[in-house]
Amino acid sequence: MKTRSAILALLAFVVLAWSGGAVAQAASAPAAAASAPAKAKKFNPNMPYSEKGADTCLGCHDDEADSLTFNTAGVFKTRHAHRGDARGPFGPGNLQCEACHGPAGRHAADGKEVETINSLKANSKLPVEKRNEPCLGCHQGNARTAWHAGAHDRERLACTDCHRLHVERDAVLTKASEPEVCLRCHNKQRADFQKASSHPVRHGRMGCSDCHSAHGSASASALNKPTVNQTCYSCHADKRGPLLWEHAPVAEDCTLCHTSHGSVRAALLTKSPPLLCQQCHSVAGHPAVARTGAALPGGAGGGQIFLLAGSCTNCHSQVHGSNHPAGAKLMR
Amino acid sequence: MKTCSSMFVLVSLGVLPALAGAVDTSTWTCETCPFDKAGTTGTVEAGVGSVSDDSARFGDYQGLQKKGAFALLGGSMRYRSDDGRYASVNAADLGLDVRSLSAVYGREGVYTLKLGYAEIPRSGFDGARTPFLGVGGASLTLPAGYPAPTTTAMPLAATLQPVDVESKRSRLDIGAAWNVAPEWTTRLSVRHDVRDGLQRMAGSFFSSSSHLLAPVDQVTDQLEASASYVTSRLQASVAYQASLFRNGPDALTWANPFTPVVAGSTSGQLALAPDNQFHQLRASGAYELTPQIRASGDIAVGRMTQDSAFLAATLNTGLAVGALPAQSLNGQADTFNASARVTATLNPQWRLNASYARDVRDNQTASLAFPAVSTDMFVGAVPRTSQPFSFTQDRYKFNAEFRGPFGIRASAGLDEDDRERTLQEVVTTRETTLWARGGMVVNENVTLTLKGAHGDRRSSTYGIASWVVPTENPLLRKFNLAARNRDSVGVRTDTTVGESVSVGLYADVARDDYDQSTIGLLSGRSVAVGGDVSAAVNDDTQLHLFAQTERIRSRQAGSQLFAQPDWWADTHDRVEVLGVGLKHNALKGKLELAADVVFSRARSSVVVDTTALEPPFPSARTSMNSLRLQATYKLQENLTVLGSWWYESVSSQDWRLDGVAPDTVANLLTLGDTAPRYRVNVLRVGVRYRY
Repeated sequence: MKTRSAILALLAFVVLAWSGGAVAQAASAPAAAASAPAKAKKFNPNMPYSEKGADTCLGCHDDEADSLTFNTAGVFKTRHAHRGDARGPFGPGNLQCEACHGPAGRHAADGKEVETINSLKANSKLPVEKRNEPCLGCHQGNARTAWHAGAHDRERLACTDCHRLHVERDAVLTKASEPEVCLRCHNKQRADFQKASSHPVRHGRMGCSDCHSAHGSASASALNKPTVNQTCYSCHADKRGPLLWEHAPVAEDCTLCHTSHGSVRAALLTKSPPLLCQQCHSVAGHPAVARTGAALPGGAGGGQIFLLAGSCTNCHSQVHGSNHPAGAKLMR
Repeated sequence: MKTCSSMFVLVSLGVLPALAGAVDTSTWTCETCPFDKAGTTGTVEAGVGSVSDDSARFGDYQGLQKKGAFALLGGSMRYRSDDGRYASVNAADLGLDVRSLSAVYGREGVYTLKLGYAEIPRSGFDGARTPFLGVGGASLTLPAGYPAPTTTAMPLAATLQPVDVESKRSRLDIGAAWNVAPEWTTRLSVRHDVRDGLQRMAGSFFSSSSHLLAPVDQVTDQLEASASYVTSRLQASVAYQASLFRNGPDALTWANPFTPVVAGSTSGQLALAPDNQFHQLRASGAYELTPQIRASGDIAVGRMTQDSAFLAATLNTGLAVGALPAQSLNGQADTFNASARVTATLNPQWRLNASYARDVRDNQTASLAFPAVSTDMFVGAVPRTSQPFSFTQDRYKFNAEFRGPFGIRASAGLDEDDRERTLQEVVTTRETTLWARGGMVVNENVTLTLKGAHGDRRSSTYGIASWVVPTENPLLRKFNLAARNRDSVGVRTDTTVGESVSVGLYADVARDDYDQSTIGLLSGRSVAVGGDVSAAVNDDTQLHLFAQTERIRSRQAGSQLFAQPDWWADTHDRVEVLGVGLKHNALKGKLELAADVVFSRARSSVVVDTTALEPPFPSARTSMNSLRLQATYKLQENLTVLGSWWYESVSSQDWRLDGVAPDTVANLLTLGDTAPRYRVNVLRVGVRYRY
């Protein structure tokens, strides 16, 4: 209760603090612009537009200016360049390249003065809020409902840090190539997917977005569903139940026994049985017995059935629960 | 239709305040713009591939488990019209069991129709053999010569048959979205997911057990319908989701290959996953109270149900078993999930965030007493009572962010995780975590990020679940209920060299200390150090490298005498991963080359200390080397030759499987599968024609 009271007090503080902040805000430059590096101030949305729109841009941004990773004309393969879309940048009467990159009159005149436009590139000197403005102006859907409270927003990611606009197929929107985008930052997960047991992400059969919502969500780790288990049940509905004989940690949280990205053990287990099970089971009798190398094939000890092959699951095979009337010990 | 011209966008954002109306685009003819012409374009890929060796493990998720040739078949189609209609079709791996197909048709800003189909095969066991007959069905029988008192006495040499323990998931997705009005969008998606094949299970009779192959014949149908309303300041949606799971057979019956110790225990029955349903109503919304304050929330109410008919308590007609308390479970678990978040930007430097979330699984299923039948052999005097578990989790988060000069950024917060459980040793736990992150731009090309957290979990009185017989050692503390201190620190630095090279280095350390546990998990620790490098060597060559070394340790204790701890076990995993990728354009873009190399090494050690001189466990090891080379050569503008070579080798030793043949353990009939070991080459040659 103390914490709840503290949070309520802090919420009240937020509102009070904002009322002061709002006054300060009104008298100052926009938040993002004020903290932007000096170079970014060269970008000014009130600057003139180019003389001929995209024709002006393409006069310089031709094949010669392309690189292995960037192709200006690639945008014409995308939905953004669909002339039949009245909402799109290249729709009738719209601002073409400058719809996203901002007024380019000065850029066209000065040549390499990149900072006078919104380049949308990762090395842009513009603050993220400014880089994102043209994207968020149209893309207002519910996918970003929780963006403001997510880790990606906290890290000030720009839309174009993940999305590519000048390619026919944006890699992050294609299941097979999406992980390459995410794993550029999530390095530990990249290594996890190379472990002996993993979800088929490195095989191109699953994408990160099968479980996670990159634009934020209500759950921990930005899962697509409200809880870990509801997320897992999306594919593993056979584990959902409710079952007659439930295994408490299974019903509570799949990640108590399984790791989600990769494990050196089969079935993404965090630890191999019997030790995995003996972390929570120590009743008198065989569950409490220490299994050692004596029970290996050719060893002098007994109890091999408790150690080898499936170990505990050699008998208790219904570890996810059972609907059998005699399944109390998860053996039927 | 949602009218959102670029002009409107920029004006609404204030980007084009007074100037917007003055822009005359009437002369912007876009003459040099290389628009796609209205019509259809596409590609067709065809060729042949070859797999050098059989390996179930290599073929897992890939459909490449069998030696031999396979067809390369795929392609794409794009259609564009001048009035905003579009379509696309993409097909891949049509000649393999990982085939996929996706299609989209729509009109920009009006509607979208989607269709998708994909297969995901599983094949994880090499060398599996079984004497059971009828594999794939719901009843497993045995050939002549069974039962026998031990596996060594069974006629395995004459009766073991190799079996492919495989399954496949096939998914059909259909979706539609319709922009009803500028602010309204409705969506409907349906998924039909079929999973069939075999899965490993095990069935026991007291102290003897057999590994069995159960049929997988599962269908899951999911439906989600939603409507959303969006304005510049408000986003809201409501959705309904249904998930219906159906399983073909409800049980697997198997003949006992071991000579019955108790008369009549000649066959047993395992329950397979019962049919179940889940229905959920969700609503979510976000509102920009002011440009500085944004709030969002979600609420979801769901119900899981399951009412499949019970199986018989035993197949042993010689046992005197009382009547079941019900013919089916009539199981029902209600879920409730809600969250609220608010973010306030106080000024350019400060932002405050607060959130609350509640997740409830309220199991309404009746607790019933069942006859205590054990493995079709014994009937206990005291009935066993089912325990429908319920959980409530409340999460509170509050944090503040600061952005200062010189790229300085910092954030710190307090998270609290309160959980309440029923029918377990602990009723409530509360975990409070203080965390902080900081970062700065060291210079124009180098950023540094530090993070740290300390969590402290305390629980209500740890009792004994006396309703479960036999009871656990009173000194046991289950790790998800136990008091715990959790600490973590991490550091990351990113360096860019010009526009062509970026280097990231990171280290993360985490430690768990179950300071009030005597038996059970006592501690855990992980250390991961790694880095990645991306470099554009020149305009035609890109290089990427990543590496990580990781150590995971844990310590636990047990008591063989149901008293104080008398044995301890240390588990230590070491994993090293190194990967290098290279892309190169040659011959003025006509030739594209790519190479990816990955080396992965894992070693897992277990040391069990009983204070007596016991033989140790050997380390379990896995070593994986993977090399992929790909080349595409553009013969003509519309014709490209494709070629690739993929080599992968895995070598592993696992004492849990190695040397464990079906007859190695006298009272355990295994499948005899082995730890993965393979060396496979896959060659592909084909052409891509663009039309």
